[in-house]
Amino acid sequence: MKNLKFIIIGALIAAAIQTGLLVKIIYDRGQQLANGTEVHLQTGMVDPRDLFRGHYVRLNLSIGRILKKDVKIVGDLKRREAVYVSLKKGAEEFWVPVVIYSELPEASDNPVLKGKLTYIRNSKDPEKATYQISFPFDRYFAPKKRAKELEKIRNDRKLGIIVALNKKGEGLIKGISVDGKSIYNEPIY
Amino acid sequence: MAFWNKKHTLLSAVDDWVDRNVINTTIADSLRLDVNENIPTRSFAYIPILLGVICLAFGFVTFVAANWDAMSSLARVVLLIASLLASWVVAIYLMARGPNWAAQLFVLLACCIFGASIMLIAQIYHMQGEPRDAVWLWAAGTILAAVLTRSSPALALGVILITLWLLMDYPLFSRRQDLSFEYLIYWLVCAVIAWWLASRFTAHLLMIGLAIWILVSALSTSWFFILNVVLLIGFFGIAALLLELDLKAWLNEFEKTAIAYLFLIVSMLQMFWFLTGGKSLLRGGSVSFELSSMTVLWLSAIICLLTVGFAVYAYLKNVEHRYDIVVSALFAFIALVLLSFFQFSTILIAIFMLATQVWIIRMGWRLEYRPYSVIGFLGFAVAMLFIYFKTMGSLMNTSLFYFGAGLILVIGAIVLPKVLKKWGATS
Repeated sequence: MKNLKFIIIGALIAAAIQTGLLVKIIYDRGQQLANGTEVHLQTGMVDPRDLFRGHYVRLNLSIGRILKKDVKIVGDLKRREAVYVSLKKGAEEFWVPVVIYSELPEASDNPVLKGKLTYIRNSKDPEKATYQISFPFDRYFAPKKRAKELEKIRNDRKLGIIVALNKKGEGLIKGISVDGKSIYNEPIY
Repeated sequence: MAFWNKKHTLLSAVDDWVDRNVINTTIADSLRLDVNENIPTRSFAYIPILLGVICLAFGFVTFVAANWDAMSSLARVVLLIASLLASWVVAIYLMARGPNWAAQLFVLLACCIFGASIMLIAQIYHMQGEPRDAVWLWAAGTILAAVLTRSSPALALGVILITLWLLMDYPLFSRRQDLSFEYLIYWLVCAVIAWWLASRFTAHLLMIGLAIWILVSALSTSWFFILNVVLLIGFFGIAALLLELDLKAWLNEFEKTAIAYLFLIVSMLQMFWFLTGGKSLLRGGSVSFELSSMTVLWLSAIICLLTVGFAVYAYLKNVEHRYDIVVSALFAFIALVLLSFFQFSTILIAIFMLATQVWIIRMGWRLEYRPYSVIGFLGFAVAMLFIYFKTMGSLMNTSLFYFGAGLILVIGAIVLPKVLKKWGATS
């Protein structure tokens, strides 16, 4: 009987912890959307036939492929490891990479976005050498109706995403932009 | 009463023994009393209730799916958390009122909903992150629930999840990959919990998980480290478990099964070693702690010495399985010598591989445990096939090897027992 009492208390604690963990995920995300640094990233186009799989848009961020000549490298970049891309506002509405760090910089004037270095493409022509970086937001889930609207925008090649960054460089999709103007904003909760 | 009912089977057996005068009525009455007290009657009503609950759950899930798009993000999250809490409430109710198996089922369901909620919340709020991290969080929440509710099914799910976590995003066949010692820490934590809960099923899953870790590590990291240290640990583990088989202090009679898994791991490593002809040992690999070859050999020597220590202890204490413990130590020593001085000798590795399988078969005979014999016979057959494939270019060599192996086995089987008998008689 004493054991049963402990097990029931244990079950209550387990239920509370599991619920708490789920709530924390949502709360942290809400805090990041509300207080995070906002950057606009250009979304390149992918094969139109594969663009909508179910109800999500597959994003192909232009900063996913960075030309070596366009950025400064700080530290030793290794494949399959985390890298930190420092961004500044470009000539157009979208933000562009400036520096790639191997570790999170202690102080940076610009916002920093965390990604994973997937490939280093060297070329005989130094102008063509690139870093391929994957970011943890390569798709945008949308209901059918919104997905169809986005498909039309995609055809005009004006799509961008708004990302909220925290101090660790972790990014979250905050909304969708067209020509720098926000068209969808994610509700905080 | 249905024929599959355990209680009915036992009571029928008691009636049959009384009819055939195997037992008298007094013993029969005590047996009937014991069966009635210790095996609770299960009502058939549980089956339609269970099926009904499954149908209701399916109905609920499909209803939610049909209206998912129309719901706001917050409504979806509330629904997920409500489902999680409802599962826990039912589980707690069943814990208090029984039956316990149904309570365990709902604890498992709650843990599944917890995992599904992590994935769905990530989808609802466009939080993609690393899927591996999500699986880790799911495993952590599940293992914690298993400890708090003493739930073996939840623990089994936790072990499956943490093994899945190991395999996700793990580049196989990559030369520069660190060993994932983190998995071993989680494995040990789960092993302690499984021991505490006396969960045999989880123990099986843990041994399978360990074999997966070794295989994955061997394919992607320093083969030299894995072959030396893990092979030696394998023989050490077999010796330790044989000692535990006599002591019966810790593993609740899981020793024989654990030894069977270690046999599988050891055989697997030996076969890899043979197939690569020892050349893979030259593959440096980069283990995170940068052990030199000499340090690895020293480490192997220490493990071998510990195994020998077990053998000496077993012999001095005259434990029942001392013979097999001594043989384990002998195999550990041979492995160390081969790895140190003859790692490229295909013929010696082949003999060692076959000898191990013969030992496994023999131990199956000695301990009257059929799985060992099955593993040994299968291992022997696979080893023979490997030897054939390896030496296919020269059939004469294959033939000579088989003749040699056959001769050694026949002589060993006929002459050795006679010599041992004679030696026993004179001493």
